[in-house]
Amino acid sequence: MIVTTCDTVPGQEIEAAVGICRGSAIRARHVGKDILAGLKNIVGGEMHEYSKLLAETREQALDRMTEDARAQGADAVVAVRYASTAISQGAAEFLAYGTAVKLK
Amino acid sequence: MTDQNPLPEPTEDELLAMAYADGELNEEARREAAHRMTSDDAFALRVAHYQRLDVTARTAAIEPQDIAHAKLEAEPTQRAALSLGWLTLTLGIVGSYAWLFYEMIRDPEMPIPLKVLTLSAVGGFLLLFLAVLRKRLRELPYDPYTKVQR
Repeated sequence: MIVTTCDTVPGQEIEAAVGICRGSAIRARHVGKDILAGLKNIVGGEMHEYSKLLAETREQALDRMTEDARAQGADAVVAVRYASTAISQGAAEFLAYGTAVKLK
Repeated sequence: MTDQNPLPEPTEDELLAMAYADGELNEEARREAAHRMTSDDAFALRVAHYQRLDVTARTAAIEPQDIAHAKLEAEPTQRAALSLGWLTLTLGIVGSYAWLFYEMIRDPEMPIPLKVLTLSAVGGFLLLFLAVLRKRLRELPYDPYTKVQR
């Protein structure tokens, strides 16, 4: 499955747009990681606890979007975008969406 | 030079799980494999394993700070500080709340219905917490995203 942020698939021709495909995920770390991240606020530096949280959520949302495209019979997803919000304290939400297309 | 200990050939189940995790099955085979996961726990775990490998492979770029981080994590002083820190913090928080709760229940001036309601609230919270924890522990082996670092 080709997944790209471009509006087209370079080197290939799009036969038809299948529809919008999307995947979202919301994840949290456990309270221990929140405490460590809070302490990191004092000393500075990268908050690995939250970097990991965002990365986990992003990959899960991306996989769900790809799965949605596959279920629609698509060959590729173009114009992929991410959106992120904070639904609750210490949790991350990612929404990945794009256009599922059939290639020639 | 020939390999003296060649890797064993993957079984049918392993190939199927790999193909499912990589999204290489056609629609019908995919539906069958998905249905099988609902009843075959070993197969579901195998799929989760290959999904984890796939996710980790595409996100596992090592940065210089990872080396320093890994070294620090291995240092006995750091490990002892973290373990002792968590132990004393947990003991302090849980102990304080348990003590407060005990004193409240023992208080002769506190009406009995209020004691019962407080016990009910604490008991309910503990039950809900255990149920959520149990669910998390149950789903953990199937969660392929726990190894993603960044």
